[in-house]
Amino acid sequence: MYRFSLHRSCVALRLLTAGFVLSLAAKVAQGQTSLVVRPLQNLSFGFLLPGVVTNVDAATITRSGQIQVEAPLGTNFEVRYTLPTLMNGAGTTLPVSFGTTDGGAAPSANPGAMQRFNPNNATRWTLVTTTRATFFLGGRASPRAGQPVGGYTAPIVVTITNLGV
Amino acid sequence: MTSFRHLGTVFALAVVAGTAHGQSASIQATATVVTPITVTGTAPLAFGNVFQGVNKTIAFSDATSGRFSLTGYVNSQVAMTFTLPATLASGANTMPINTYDVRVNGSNSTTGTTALTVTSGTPVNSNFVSGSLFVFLGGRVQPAVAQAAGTYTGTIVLAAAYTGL
Repeated sequence: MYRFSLHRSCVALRLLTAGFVLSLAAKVAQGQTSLVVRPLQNLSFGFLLPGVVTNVDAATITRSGQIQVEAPLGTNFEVRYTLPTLMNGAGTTLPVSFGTTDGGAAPSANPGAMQRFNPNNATRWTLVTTTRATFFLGGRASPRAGQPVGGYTAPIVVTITNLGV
Repeated sequence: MTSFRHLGTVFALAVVAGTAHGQSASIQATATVVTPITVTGTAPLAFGNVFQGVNKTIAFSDATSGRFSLTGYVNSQVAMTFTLPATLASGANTMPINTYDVRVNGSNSTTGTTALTVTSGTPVNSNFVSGSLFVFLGGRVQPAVAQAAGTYTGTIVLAAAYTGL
């Protein structure tokens, strides 16, 4: 009896759990909205001299890396950057790093109203009064003293997770 | 007005993980390591002997024209800023110098040069097509009728910097 009741309890718990998951999943699915991510611009350090560290600020509109997120008002989403530590080129590597204020987010392509964030961490956002947000990325390239001349590149992946409305 | 907001942790915890889906966008971090620009003054703009009240011109192609040589990263744009004196000096005495004629060439030859419109202190752009540039500089001095005898000198400065293009 005890076992049975325990068993029933377990069944009941499982049913409850299943019901909870289903209802929650349905709720999220109902609240899920379409979200579009567009790459706009590479993070361009331009010309570097060997041994000279070069910073690109997120607000430097012509050089910062930029993506745009478009979704209905009220959409919540998470932004997660996969950032490189090295750029590759000329048969070698070139160190690159990202500081705690190298991320910037603005409701338009205008960095004037930019809100800074740490691109090394995932961040969560809500579109409140606009359907588009632009995310800017600055960084730091640190060529070595004997860095070979040539072009260097590294991929930056931005993953946007739609958290619904 | 803030058009979208950074979500707080409490909100983030309220959303069920695993039900949302992610989208990715990729951009690149790019940089070009270049060789430092070198600028060398290889010959002075030498007017030789001049006579009172007689203007004297040295053409850019004359043997005694002023010359600079520059080296830089192949196919890159360079901004050259000339500081051109308006007078030559001999102690307290001065003599006007003007009508500079500045030409540039990718080879060390006065044939096939390109004329530069140069204003003292204002950058003018050229290109390191093959990694070298040669600057030829002519000008005119205007000795006064009562110009005091002596050796007159002035300093012509060429500063160069990459434009990043």
